[in-house]
Amino acid sequence: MSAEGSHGEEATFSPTAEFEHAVEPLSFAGVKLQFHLGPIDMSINRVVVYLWLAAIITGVICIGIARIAAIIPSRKQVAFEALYEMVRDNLVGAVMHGKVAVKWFPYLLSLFLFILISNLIGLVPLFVSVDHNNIPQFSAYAATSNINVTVALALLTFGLTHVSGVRANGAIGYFKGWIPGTAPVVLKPVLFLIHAVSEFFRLVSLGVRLFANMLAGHIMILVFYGLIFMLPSVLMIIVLSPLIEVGVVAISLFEIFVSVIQAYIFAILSAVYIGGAIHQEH
Amino acid sequence: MISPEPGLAIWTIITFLILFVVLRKFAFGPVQNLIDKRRDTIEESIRAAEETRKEAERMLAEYRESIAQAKYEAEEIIERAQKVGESTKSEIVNQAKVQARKEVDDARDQIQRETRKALQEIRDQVADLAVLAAGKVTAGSITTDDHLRLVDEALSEVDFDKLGAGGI
Repeated sequence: MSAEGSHGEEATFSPTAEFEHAVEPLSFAGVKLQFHLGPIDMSINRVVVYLWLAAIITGVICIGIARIAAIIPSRKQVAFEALYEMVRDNLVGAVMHGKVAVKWFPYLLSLFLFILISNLIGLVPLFVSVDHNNIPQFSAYAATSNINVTVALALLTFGLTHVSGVRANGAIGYFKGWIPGTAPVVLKPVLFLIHAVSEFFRLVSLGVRLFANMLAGHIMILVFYGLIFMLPSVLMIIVLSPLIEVGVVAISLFEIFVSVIQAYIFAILSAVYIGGAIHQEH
Repeated sequence: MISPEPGLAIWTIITFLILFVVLRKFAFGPVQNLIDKRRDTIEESIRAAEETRKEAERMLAEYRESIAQAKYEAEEIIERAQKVGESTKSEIVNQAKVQARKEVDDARDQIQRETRKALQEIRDQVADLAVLAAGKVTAGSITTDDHLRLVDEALSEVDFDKLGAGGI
C-alpha cells in the first residue's frame, strides 16, 4: 500500500505517507482540483472526498430508513431506532433535560453518526486516488484521522457551547459563572484565566482525542501490512503473512470498537460541554 | 500530518452542517414523528385492551350473577313444583276418598231401594198365590174379593220391614 520502493533506490516504508498524501489536491479528468479562497487553500483532496463520502453514506442510510419507516418496523428500522434512542436517552438524556435536550438532540445525533460513519469508512479499502502512474490505488483512510477535521468538529462544539451559554445566561452571567462565587476578589481574575485555559484545552482534547485514536488504529494496521513488504525472503512471506493477516483482522475488529467508542465520546462530551454551559452550576 | 489546513477545517464544517440540516429535515423529523405516533398507537392499544378487559370482566361478573340467579330460580321453581305436586296429590287422594265414600253410600242406598222393591213384589206374588191356593181349597165358597181381603189382613200382620232388614 504505502511501500515506496517503486520509485526509490532503496525500499523504504513510511506508514504515515498515506496521511501526507491525503491532503494533496486530487485530479479529475486531468484537471487538478485546486481552489483558493483568498489565502485559504480549498482544494479538493482525499480528505474532502472522504468527508463527502461519510456525509453521503450517513445521509443515505438515515433518509433511506426514514423513508421506509413504518409503525410496525422492519429489522433495519429497529436497528436504526435502537441507535436513535440510545443517543436520545443515554447520550443526550444523560446530560440534558427537557427542551434543551430536544433542541440539541439533532445536532448531537448528526455528530455521532457522522463521526461513526467516518471512522468506519476508514476500515474499508476504497479506490479514491491514483498513484503517479495513474493507477487507482486502494487505500483505507478515515477523514477523522486528520486533525483538521476533528479540530473543526471540536471547534463547532466549542463555538456552540459558548454561544448557547451566553444565550441561556446572558454574556455577563455566563462569564461570571466561570468563577466560583465564593472565591476571594483577588483570586477572581486568576480563576477566570484558569477556566479560560481549561475551556481552550477542552477544545484541543476533544479534537486530538478522536484524531489520535483514529490515526493510531490506522497506523497499526498499516505497520502490520508494512511488515509483509519488509520480510527479506519469499519463504518468510509465505510463513508469516497469514500470522500478520490474523493480527490485522484482530486490530481491525478492535478498530470497529474504537470507532464506535470514539464517536460516542465525542458526542457525549459535546453534550456535556453544551449542557454545562446552559445550566451553569457555579 | 498535523499541519494546519484551514481549508480542510472549513470543508469539514460545511460538509457537517449540510449533513446536519438534511438529516434534521429528512431523517430525524420523520423518525421522531413515527416513534411518537407508534407510542400513541401503543398507548391507545393498551388503553383499548384495558377497556376490553374491564368490559369482559364486567360481563363475566354479570353472567356469573345471572347464572347464579337462574340456578336459584330453577331451584325455587322445582321446590314450588314439588310443593304444588304434593298438594295436588293429597287433594286428588282426598277427592278420590270422598268420591269412593259417596259411591259406596249410593250403592248401599240403591241396594236398599232394590231390596224394598223386591220384597214388595214378593209380597204381591205371595198374596196372589195365596188367593189362588185358597180359591182351589174353598172352591167357590168364598168370592175372590173375600180372599183378597183376607190375604191383605194376613199379610198386614206380617212385618216385612223386619223381614227385609233381617234378610239382607
